Amino acid sequence: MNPTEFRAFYNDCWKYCKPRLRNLTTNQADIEDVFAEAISRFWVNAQQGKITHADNHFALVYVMAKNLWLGELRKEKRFTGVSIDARNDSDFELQLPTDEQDFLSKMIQEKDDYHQEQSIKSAWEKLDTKCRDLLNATIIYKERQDELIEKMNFKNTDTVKATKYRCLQYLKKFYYELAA
Amino acid sequence: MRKKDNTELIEAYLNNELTAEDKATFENRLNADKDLVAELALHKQIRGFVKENEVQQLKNQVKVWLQEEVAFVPSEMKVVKKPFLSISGLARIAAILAVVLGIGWFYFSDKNPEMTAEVDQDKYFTELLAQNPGTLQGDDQRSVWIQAFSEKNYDQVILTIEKKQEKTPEEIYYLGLSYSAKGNYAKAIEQLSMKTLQDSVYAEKAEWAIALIYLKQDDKPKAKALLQKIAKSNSEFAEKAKALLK
Repeated sequence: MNPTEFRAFYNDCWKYCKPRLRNLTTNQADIEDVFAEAISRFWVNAQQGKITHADNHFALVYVMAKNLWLGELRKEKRFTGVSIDARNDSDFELQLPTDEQDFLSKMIQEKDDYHQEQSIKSAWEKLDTKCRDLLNATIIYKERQDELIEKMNFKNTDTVKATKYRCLQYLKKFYYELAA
Repeated sequence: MRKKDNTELIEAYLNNELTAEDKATFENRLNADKDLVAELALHKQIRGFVKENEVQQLKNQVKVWLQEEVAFVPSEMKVVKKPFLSISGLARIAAILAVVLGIGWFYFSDKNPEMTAEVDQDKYFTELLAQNPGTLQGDDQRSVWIQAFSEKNYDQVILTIEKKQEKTPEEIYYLGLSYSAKGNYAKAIEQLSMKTLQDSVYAEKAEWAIALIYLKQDDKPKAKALLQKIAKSNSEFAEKAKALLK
């Protein structure tokens, strides 16, 4: 990932989302939490080529953040009878097509579906930084092998590929050891 | 102990890189081989974990940026659009401040000689962090942390350099400075005392930085010992060390 790119996206996206989220709640901690969750989840999905729907990415992040916040309210039962629709103000971005709304729900659902398995987490922590970076680069950021040669000092695409498999093998080995 | 490793095959399957024929063969094997099914499930879990882990890393980074923004709020609030005091009121306050500062200067310059040294250490510490790491040449990560350092985005510097498996003396030095800027003096000293740094062109700079960090920690005995060593040496910081020892 290019951190500068993410930082630039964050800067503009926060400018867009901040005033809108402040219309929902004045609780700064809530705003920051849902925004951080939404933009991070959005970015990772975008890197995986899963965001193909809207042109206005900031609006998608905002709607995600808003839905996350509403979800939290429901969980904490702070939500007092006001329907989501009633809170869907006149912001144009809320008029999302159904497939986009489904997609957003799916992204948000990932948050609750995924239960981190401790053994995988511990196995991951046993990997060296190069392995972790390589797995991130290939699994999430779908970086091409020829790009990784220069970026991560590999000799050629074969070594990129071989190292990736070796890293996965280590990860599995550590996992089996820990799970045993 | 697992007899056969199917990592490459499973990855090819999950990446849709198998031919139709190979895919069919693989799926047939799945029907008969429970170990393979478990291995495939593990690969899916690993992918899920890697993704979720990255989301959490980014989320932490975003929270740091948001906190930085909060930290800047007081200075933004200092911008007063409408004067609430008249010119004569301001002049009165200025006069009072001048008298107070005058008395303060007289008092401290006469009775508290350490004040000058304190001002100097702060000045030197600020100088330390105002260093320009140089050109942006190098790999992508180098340009990222150099830019971050010049923007005083020390969290980003730490995040970027810590990710690197092998760090250059330059990176260790700026990592140490970034930790000191964040007030994590123990980590800063740990980095700046690294052997690779001591054998590099950054040795004198690192030593000087450590001395200033000791002063920040108010560890005067250690600071004094190190400053004396620097003052006696041919270090580029010898004169500054002498000034602090006065």
